[in-house]
Amino acid sequence: MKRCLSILFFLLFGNLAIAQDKSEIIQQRIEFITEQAQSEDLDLINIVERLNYYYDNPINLNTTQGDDLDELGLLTSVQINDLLLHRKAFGKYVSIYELQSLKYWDLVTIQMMLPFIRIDDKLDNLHISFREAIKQGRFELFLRLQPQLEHKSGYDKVPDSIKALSNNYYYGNAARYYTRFRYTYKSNISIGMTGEKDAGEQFFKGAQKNGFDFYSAHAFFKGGKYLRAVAVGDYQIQVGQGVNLWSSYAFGKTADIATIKRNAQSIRPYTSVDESRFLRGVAAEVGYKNTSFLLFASQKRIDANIQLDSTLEDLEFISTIDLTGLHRTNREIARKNGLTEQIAGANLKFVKGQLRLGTAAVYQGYNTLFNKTEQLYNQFDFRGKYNTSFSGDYSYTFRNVNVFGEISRNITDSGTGGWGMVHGALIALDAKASIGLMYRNYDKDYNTFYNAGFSEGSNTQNERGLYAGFKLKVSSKWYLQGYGDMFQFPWMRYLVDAPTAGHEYLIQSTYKPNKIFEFYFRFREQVRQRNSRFGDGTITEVEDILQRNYRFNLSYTVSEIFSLKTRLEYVTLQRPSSEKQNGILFYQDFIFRPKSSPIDLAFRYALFDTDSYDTRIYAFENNALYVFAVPAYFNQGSRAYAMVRYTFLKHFDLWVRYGFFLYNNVSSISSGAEEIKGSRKSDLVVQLRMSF
Amino acid sequence: MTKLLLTSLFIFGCNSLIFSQGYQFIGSRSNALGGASVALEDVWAFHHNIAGIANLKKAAAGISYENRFLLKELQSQGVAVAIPMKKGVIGIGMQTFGYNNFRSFRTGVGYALALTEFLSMGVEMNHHFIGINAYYGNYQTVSGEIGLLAKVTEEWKIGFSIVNLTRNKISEFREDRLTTIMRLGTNYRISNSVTFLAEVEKDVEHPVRAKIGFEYLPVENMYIRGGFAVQPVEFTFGAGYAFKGKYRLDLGSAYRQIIGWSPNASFTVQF
Repeated sequence: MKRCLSILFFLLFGNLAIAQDKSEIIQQRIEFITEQAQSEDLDLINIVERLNYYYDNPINLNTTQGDDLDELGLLTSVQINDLLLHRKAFGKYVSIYELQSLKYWDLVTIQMMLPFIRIDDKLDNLHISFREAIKQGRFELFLRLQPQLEHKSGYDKVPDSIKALSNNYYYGNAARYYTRFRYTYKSNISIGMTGEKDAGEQFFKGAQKNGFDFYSAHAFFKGGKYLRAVAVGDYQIQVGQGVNLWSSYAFGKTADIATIKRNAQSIRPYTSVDESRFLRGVAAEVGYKNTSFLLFASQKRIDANIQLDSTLEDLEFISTIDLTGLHRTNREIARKNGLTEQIAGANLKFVKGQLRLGTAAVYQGYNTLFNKTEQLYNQFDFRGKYNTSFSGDYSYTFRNVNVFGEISRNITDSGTGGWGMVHGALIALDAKASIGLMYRNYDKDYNTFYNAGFSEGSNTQNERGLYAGFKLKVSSKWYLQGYGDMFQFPWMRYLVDAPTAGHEYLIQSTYKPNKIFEFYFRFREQVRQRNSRFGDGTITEVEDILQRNYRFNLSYTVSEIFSLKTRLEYVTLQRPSSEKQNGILFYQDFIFRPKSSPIDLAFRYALFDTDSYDTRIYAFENNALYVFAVPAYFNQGSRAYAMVRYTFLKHFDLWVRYGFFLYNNVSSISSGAEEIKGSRKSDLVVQLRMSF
Repeated sequence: MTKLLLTSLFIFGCNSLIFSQGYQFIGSRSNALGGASVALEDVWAFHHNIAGIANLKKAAAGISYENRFLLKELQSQGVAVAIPMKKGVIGIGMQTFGYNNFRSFRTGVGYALALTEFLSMGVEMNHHFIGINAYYGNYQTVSGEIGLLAKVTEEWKIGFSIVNLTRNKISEFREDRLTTIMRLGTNYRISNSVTFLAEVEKDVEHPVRAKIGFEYLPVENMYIRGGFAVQPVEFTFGAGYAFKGKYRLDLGSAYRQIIGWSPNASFTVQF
C-alpha cells in the first residue's frame, strides 16, 4: 500500500513538475520573442498550440522521421540528425535514458524534450475511420470576454450627428468578444471556426450586421501518403527561411541561437485573429517519395484607403493598406475590405536524408492600383498592382553542422524588384558548446508581402547584417550564452533620414544548480541610429542611440504547488539630443498549483519607474490559454494582476484574470479616443473552455 | 595652406600615436580569438601576457603579419621567441608598425617563471622607438610590463597583465604618454575539442573592452577560431593548421562594420 502511495505520489509529482516545465518553456520562448518584437500585439497561438499538441500527443522516437521534431521547434537539426543516426546504428530506443548517450543532447535538452516525446514500439496507424475520428477526436469551444472597466473618451455618449462627422468616437461597446470552435484529430484533421469583435466595434448592429467583425473558418487534413496536406478556408503558408513567403509569426533574434533557423511547415490551419496575416482559399500538397509539391490560392479582402485620382476622376487607387483589423470609427469602417488581395503560388520540395531543397514561386495581386504616397524613404517600396517572387531554399546537415538558407527575387508589374537572401549555419562544436551564424542581405527594393526573414528591422527589406551567437555549458550548473549582431540599412527608413548602421550584443549567464532553482543575469547593448531631436526642419542628422538592459531573474520552485519568480530589470538610454534616461522594473510572481484542487492561481505585483516611454520595459504576463499579454511598463507606478483557473465537471475550464496599472502623478492616461480620466488602467479577461 | 596641411598631418600623426602606441596584440591566433588572449599559453604570450610562456617546455619562435583595414600604411610585423632555461623561460619579441612617415618599433625581452604549480609570473622590458617624418623627429623610451597566470584547474586558467606600468611619456607635447593597459581574462577548456576565452581590457584612454573567443579542433591538428569584441564592435575568425609536429600556420581576419577587414597570418615553429 505504501509503495502504491509512493508510486501515486511520484506520478502526481512527476506530472506536476513536467506541467511546470511546459508552461516555463512556453513562457520563456515567448519572452524571447517579445523582447525583440517590442510590441504588445503578438500572435503566438501557433507556437503554443504546437507545444500543447505535442504535450498531449508525445512524439514516438522509434517511428519519427524527424519532421515532427522539427515542427516542435525545440531541437536543432544536428540534434535531430543525431537521434535518427543513433536509431539507425543501434536499433530502436528501449528507454528514455538512452538519450543520454547521444552526443549532442545534454541533460537540459533532454529535460526540455521529455514532456513532448515517448518511446513506443507500436506503429502509429493512420487508418482513420469515421467512428474513430469522432470518438478520439477532440472538440473544443472557447468563449472569451474582455470588457474595459474604465471609461475611455471614445465611448462618450454623443449625438449621432456628431459621431457621423468625427473619427474620435467608437460605434460599438467597449468589450472584446471572442469565440472559437474547433475539432481536431491528432495533428491530422482540424476543422474550426473563430469569431472576434474588438473593443469599440459593433455587434449585430450598424456596420457589423453579421455579428462579429472578423470570422475565420478552416478545414484541414494532413498525413496521406500522396495527398500530404490539404486546407480549405483560412490557412498559413510557410516556405524556406521566410524570405519569400511566411504568413505566420516567426522568431526574431533571441538569446537562443537555435531560433535563427526557420522550420517551414508548408500548410497549417489558421486559428488566430490577426485580420490580415493569413491566406484564404485552398491549398494542397501532394507528394511522391522524396518529392512534394505545394499549390495554394487565396483571395481575401483587406482594409485600405481608396482615393480618387485628382486628374482622372474615375481612376481609383489605394494610398494606404491598414493592417490593424480595427473597425471602430467612421474612418476605420470606411476602410474595411477596401481592397481585394489575391495570392497564388507553388512550392516544390525535395527531401533526402538530411538534405532539403525547395523552390517556390508566389504571385500577389490587387484589384486596385496600390500607390503609396511617395516619400524619399519609401520610394523603393512596392507600388503597382501585382508582384511576383521566386525563391530557392536549402538545408543540409552533415555530422555536427547544419547549413541553411534562401535566396529570393521579386519583380513587380512596373519592372522594379530586388534580391533577398539569408545564409546560416548551426554548428554543435561539442555536446557542451554550439554556435550559430547568420548572414542576411535584403535589397532596398526587395519586396514581398507576407514574409518573416531574419532581420533587425520590422521588414525583410533594406538590410544587411551578420549575426553570430553561442551557447555554452560551462559546468553542470553554469550556462553561458550570447550573440553579437552587426547590421546596416543601405537606404533611409521611416523617421531615419540617412542610411544607417548599428549593432547589438547580448550575454546571459545562467546558474541552475538543480531542477527547482534558477538564476540568470542578462546584459544587452543595442546601438541604433535615428533622427536627432535637434534640427531646424531642413536637414536632420542621425545620431546613435545607445540602449543597455540589465536583467536579474530568479525562479524558485518552493514546493510542488508553489513557485516564485522575481525579476529586476534596469535600462539606460543615451542619445546626444536628449538627457540620459533610465528605467527600472521590479516584479514578483507567485504561482500556486495545488495538487488535489481544481484551482490554479497566479499573482504578480510590480513596481516600475521609467523616465519616458523610450525606456519602457516589456515583461511577459501569465494569462488565460491562448491570450498573450506582454505589456510595456513605463512612467511611474505599480502593476498587479491575479489570475485563477478553475477546472470543473471534467470538461470545463474557466479563467478569470484581473489586472491593473496604477500610475503616479497623472490625471489622464493615453490620448485621443483612448483617453482615460484618472490614474488607473485595468484589464479583465474571462474565458471558458469546453473540451471533450 | 601648407600650414593647414602640416597641422592636419600633425593631428593625424598624433591620432596614429594613440591608435598604435606599439601595443597591438600580435599573432593570428590572438587576433582570430577576438584578442581574448591574456590567458593563452604559447610563444605569442610574449605580446599578451609574459607569464603565459612560463610553462613552455620547448623553445619556440614565430613571425606574424597583420594588415589593418586593408590599408598599406597600417601594416604590422612581429616576432616572438621563447627559450626555456633551467629555471624559467626567457622571451624575446619585436614588433613594428606603420610606413615611412610614421613608424614604430618595439623590442623587448622578458622572463617568466612558474612560482608554484598554481601561479606563474613574468616581467618584460620593452624599448619603444617612434619615428615620424623628418619634421617631427623621433622619440624613444623604455617601458615595463608584468603578467600573472593562474592555473585554477587543469582546464581553467586566469590571466592578468599590465602593460606600461610606469606610464612613460613619449613627448613633452601635451603630456603625451604611451598608453597603459590592464587585462584580466580566462581560458577555459570545455572539452578536448573546444576552448572558450573571455577577457576584459582597460586601456587608460579608452572604454573597457570585453572580448570572447572560441577555439575549436574539428580534427587533430586543425583549429577553427572565432571571436567577438565590443568597444568597438568587432567580429574575428581564423583557422590554424599544425603539421609535422612542430610547425603551425595560422590565418585569420577581424571585421569591423565601418572600416572593414584586417587580415592576419602567423607562422610558429617549435624546436
